[in-house]
Amino acid sequence: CGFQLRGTGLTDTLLPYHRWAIEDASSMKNALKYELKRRQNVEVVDAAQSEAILRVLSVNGDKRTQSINLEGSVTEYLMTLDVVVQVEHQGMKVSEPLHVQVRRFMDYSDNEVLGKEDEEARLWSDMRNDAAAQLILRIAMMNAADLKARQ
Amino acid sequence: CGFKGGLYLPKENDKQTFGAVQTGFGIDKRPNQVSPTMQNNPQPF
Amino acid sequence: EQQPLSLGSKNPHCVAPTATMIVPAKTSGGEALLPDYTRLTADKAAGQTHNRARAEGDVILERNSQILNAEWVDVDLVNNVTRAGDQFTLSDSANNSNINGERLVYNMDTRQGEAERSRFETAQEDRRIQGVSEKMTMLGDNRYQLQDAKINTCDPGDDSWHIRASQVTADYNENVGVARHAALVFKGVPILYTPWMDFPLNGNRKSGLLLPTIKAGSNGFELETPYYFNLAPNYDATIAPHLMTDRGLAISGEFRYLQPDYQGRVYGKWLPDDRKNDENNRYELSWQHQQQFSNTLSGGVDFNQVSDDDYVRDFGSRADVQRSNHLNRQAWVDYNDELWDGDFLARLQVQKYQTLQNKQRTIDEPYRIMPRLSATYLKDFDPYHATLNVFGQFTNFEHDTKQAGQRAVLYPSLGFDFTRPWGYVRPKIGVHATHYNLEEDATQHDGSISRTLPIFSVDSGLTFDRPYSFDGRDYIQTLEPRLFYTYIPSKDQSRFPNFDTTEDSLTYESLFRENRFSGQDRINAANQVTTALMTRFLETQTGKERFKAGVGQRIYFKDDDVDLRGNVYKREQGKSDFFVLGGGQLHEKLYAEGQWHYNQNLAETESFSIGAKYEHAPGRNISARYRYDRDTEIYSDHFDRSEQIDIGAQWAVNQNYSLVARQYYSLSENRPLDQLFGVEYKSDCGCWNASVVAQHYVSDLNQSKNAVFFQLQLRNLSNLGNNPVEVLRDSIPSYQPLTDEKAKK
Repeated sequence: CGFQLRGTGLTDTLLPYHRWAIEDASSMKNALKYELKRRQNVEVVDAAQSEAILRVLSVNGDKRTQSINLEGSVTEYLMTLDVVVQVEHQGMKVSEPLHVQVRRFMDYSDNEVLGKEDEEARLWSDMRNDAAAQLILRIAMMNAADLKARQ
Repeated sequence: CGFKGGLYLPKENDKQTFGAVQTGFGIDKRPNQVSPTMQNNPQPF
Repeated sequence: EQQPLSLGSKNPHCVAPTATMIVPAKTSGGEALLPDYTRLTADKAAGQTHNRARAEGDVILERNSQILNAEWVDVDLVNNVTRAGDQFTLSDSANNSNINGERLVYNMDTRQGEAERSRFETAQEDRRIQGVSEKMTMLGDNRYQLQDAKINTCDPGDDSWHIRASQVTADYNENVGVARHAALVFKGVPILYTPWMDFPLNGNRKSGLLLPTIKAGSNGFELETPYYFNLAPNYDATIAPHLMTDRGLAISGEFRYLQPDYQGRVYGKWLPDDRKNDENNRYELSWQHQQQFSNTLSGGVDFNQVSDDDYVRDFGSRADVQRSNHLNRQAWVDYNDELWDGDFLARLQVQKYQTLQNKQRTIDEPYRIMPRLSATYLKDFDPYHATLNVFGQFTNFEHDTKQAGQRAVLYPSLGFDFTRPWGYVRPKIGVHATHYNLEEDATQHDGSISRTLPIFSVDSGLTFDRPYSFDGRDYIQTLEPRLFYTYIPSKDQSRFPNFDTTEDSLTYESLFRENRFSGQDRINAANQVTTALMTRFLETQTGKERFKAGVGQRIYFKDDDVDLRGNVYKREQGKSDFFVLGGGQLHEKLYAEGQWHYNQNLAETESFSIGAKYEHAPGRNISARYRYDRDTEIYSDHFDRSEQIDIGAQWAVNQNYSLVARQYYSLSENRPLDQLFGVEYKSDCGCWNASVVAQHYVSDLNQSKNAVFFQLQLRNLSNLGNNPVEVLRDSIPSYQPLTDEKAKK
């Protein structure tokens, strides 16, 4: 039905540059670093030796009550993570700000507050990895679209 | 009425004014310097 | 008696942003003047002696940044006083102001003078003020005084509201205007009188009363009048007496501070005696603080406390009631640095929740953490595609009733990451060692026990692509099969205490966890593999993920597992429940997402939720969510079926009126849990907006509260201490507030 293993043709997922530095990343630093290192022949280096800079423009997390029970107590939270990054090359912006939003639901009960704190921390970490994966894939696919357009 | 806004770190030549009480109490009491009044109209030309 | 001057019409039609109320004085068209030079042009220069000059007929007088047009002008050259009459217009580009009227006496150098029956307008730092007055005195250096004046901050011709005062004085250097015997006249109806009132002139912060919040509801009629102390660029305070007719007078205070390396907020509210409750001195106190000690050391405090268990239910907003019955009281210090070219992060914290108990039920009080030191060390070994992660934690747990003790955890793990564009294999091997020192206790738990368990997992997957076009747009559809294997030997942990462990929410993501318990006290047995299939639709040009759907299930190779009490038990069937997940931007304006958890054992749906958000246009959106749970805690310690629907809408009916509504309804118990209805009005030319919001929400099992908020916002005149916008933003997912700026146009 037309499916092919990725990387053997359709979406060549090479990133436009090999040596990357990550700036202003705060909590997104590790997620972006590991996702970049998963790409073919990509290194994560300091800004000085880098060809391209992946700058994190903003990271916003929001946690809001999603469901309540008959006592009005919260039974489910909705956690939303919004990340905006931009690619810079030789001091110039070479991409539009790229925005991604990741959402997760987490059940909650007042009798489990300590355990839920730990679960929430791991959910935020999962969301950061998911956001990083989507952002790096977008950079690769935009690069592929550029290459095809130039041919 | 007052106006509540965001905080910011002090910067030089900051024109904004501060104070627990920022009323105009003083301003309409200050003697307005001699201002030409309408009474002493000049003699007709 | 002459007709009083009018500011415009009560129902104005709007004008372009650059329009002015007064036609600015026209120039003579000559070339620019040297400083302090005056040019006088007119039809007829009616004569000149050594100390006076008079001109008549379409007179234009220009000097520095000022231009005066008038029918006749009479300049007294000795004491530099200019008289102009029958009709004059004076424009000054220095402070972007226009004044016109019948008579003017003015000194162009000192900018002092008087004008009769004048209209004026000025816009400084894009804050506009316009007004009319019987007599206007220019006091010099940007200070003005008006007699019998009407002023507002609206656009030219807009008199939907104004402040009428016997005297108004405006001092732009102090950013303060003062009105005496002032009345706020709204659509011609005086609604507020005050013998004396001051107001800000430009957008800067200013100490003073903020617009009051008026509420009616379960606490009777409520009036809160905040006073704002604009103490310094980086400090301010807000004190608000809060009258509640059913309960009494409370006073709340907020202090905010900001320094280069620390910032924070302290808030307190105190109700000396409460008529509706025999408790006295009811209070709430909260302190949030963050500090950067050095570039590796930072810390903070999050302290929240109330006087008694019912405080939040009685006084809290809907959001407070629905947040949690545990108030966090926590202080921490973080250390974050490079170590042997890896990352080292450590946190030392103390935490003691305040649990708000309830007569009908008892909530399990969490352990006090006095203190906890946790540390994580991460080091990459790029040549081997490996990452070492060493997690360590020591905690001293205290509790009033349960068994206290210390727990030390050490969990080093080594993860490998072999990734190619077409797939990945990520094995991870770790050893989770835990040691407990338990205080002697009535039960038979003895002093110190420990547990060491290897944890092995392999996450692997392939990625297939194919082009796919839909609705004229090119996508890449992916197909991503994934296998996630976990092996953890089973170990009886019933003799281990449970300090901070609970079972994770059962969602699609929970399939890809090694241990389904959060906290460190329980580690599930595992010899299982999660099989999952995910498909995503990515826009070819941008790579944006438009839609994704996934289905997954876990297959157990052994059937013993560990439950929350720590006992090893036999599972009935080999396959876990079935999870389906889907969601994305189905259409430009429609976002939808859903989850389905199917229990193969009972051949029944365990939980199902579907939600959608339709954004027709800015200010016009509807969102709805349905959630079903086969067996959940519908209220404390009571488990049953639950079916709920939550519908929220913000709909701009027309350019002025906007309706906001929310209905959170329990279908299984057929009763509403949270309802809200609001009407927002935005005036045509955006000089004011008003909103009325009514709310009814459950505050306990058979208790509910209602409240009606009213808010009137006059452009740039003042803003609210706290306003109902938070309530709306909280209840309607895509709510867009009608802030002042938006109210402009």
